[in-house]
Amino acid sequence: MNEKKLIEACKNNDASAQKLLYETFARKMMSVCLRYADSREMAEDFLQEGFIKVFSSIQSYNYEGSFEGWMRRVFVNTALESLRKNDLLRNGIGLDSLDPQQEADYSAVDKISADELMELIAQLPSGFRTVFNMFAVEGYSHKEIAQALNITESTSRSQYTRAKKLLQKWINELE
Amino acid sequence: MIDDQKFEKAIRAKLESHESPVRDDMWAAIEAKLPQSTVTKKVALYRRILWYSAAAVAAGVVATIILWPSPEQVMQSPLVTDETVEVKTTQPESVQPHEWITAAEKTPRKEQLSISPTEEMREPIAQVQSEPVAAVATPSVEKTTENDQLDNPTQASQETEAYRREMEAFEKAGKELKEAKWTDETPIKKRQGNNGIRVGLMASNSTSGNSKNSATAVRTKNPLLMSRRDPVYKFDHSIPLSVGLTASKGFAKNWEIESGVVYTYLYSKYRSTNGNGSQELHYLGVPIDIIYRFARIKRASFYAAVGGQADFYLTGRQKDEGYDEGISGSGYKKLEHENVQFSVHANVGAALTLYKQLELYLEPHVAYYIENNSSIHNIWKDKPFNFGLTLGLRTGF
Repeated sequence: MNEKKLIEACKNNDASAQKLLYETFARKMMSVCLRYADSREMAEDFLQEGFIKVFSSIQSYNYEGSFEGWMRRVFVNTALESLRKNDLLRNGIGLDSLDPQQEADYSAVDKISADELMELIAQLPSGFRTVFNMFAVEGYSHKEIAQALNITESTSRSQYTRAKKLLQKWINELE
Repeated sequence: MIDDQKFEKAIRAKLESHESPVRDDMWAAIEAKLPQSTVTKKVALYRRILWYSAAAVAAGVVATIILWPSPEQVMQSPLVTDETVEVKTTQPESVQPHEWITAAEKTPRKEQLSISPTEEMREPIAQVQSEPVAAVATPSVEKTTENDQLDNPTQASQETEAYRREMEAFEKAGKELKEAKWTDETPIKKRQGNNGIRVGLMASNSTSGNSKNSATAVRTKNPLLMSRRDPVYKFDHSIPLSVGLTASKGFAKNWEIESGVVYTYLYSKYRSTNGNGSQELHYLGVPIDIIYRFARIKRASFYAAVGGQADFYLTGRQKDEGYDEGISGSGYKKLEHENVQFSVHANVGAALTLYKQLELYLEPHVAYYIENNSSIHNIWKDKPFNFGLTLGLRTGF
């Protein structure tokens, strides 16, 4: 079954297609959830909520852009909603001590594994982690991030830069 | 800015296709909360009405099957009536009406047997009279006659020769009757066509000596027990019980094809002129079904199916509980036959998803079993159109 047929079947509430869609994307979406969550349990909650939203709003997917991209946005929005609800986006203690002017060796990213990178991202305070994920991984602009998180663009830029420096520092320490 | 782009590319390259393991039971938790079930309910409203109607019809059919006169009931009346008329005229009330008396039992008349039973004859007679079931084995022998003999031994010794002659006549008559009975196929055909198939077939098999079902009792030349050579059976069948392991594959939305193996256990109790007993049969079947799932609620789904099945006989046995164990004994007798039993069936079922695609299902079914000319009597032969209950595990792929 190709992706379009699978999506159509899910739009028709075909249970077996829903299951197949879940099995196709669950692990990737779990990775997304883990990047935004403070814990694995929280990530599992995001995953569960995210799939429920995917299946309940799949009718709105109109084949513009990749389906996986659409799904990722659903999961990111689900995570943001939960973080906002629990007031976790303001959590950025400890980053002020970083020197924002410090240059980073970005090539070091290639020297660590994806799992190690995931672990380092998970160490970031949730507010900075969220901005970092949205900008660096999902590709949102600072304007979009500011709107989504109800912060100013400059705050988004500042938090992103600080998160990036901290991550770089940890990567260098890991090498 | 350029550095930012490089960094983002490096991060995305690392994480874009990254996957993390997911707990196995996560789907069940998601599926349980899916709005799909509510949507399905809306869509399936008319279907539900349709299926409720179908279920009502099915229930009616099942009830009809249950309440329909069984072959046993049908077979008794004409055969019993035909064959017992003469006996009734010669037997006293105390030893009368056994329902399954055979032709050989009818021949001797009351006066023939009441002349002079010897001592060795009296013992089986006494046994027979003390056993209501055995009444058929002693046509016309009356207790009063026996008592008379005991009171007057002189007369008995004088009549020994007469008795011997009478017994020879009795044996001869019985033999002639028996030969006449089994060379004439009409009664057998009549029985087969009359749904009283158990009587006809079992008696036939027993007499011909080909039957695997013949009673274990016949080990005597005592003419008074000759009737046991024609045992007639009456079966009471229990509901078939099946356990299966099947696999299904979806080929369209809500449609699946299923096959696998199903073990079936058949249990029957029988009564015969040789005594009572029980019968156990074991089959391994290969079904093939087309399934339509018409409703899903959380982890449960409901479906209807039609299909066929080939049941292969594994083993079986009868356990006689002979009324005269000194002669007939009591024990197991293995049954053998080779014919495959084909059937068609329709099911409705409920399935509960246990893990991933593994389901536990329970399905009542109605089935029609095609005659396979087996010598074994079972519920499929006696009630070709019957119902059952299947409990099993199914996995999809």
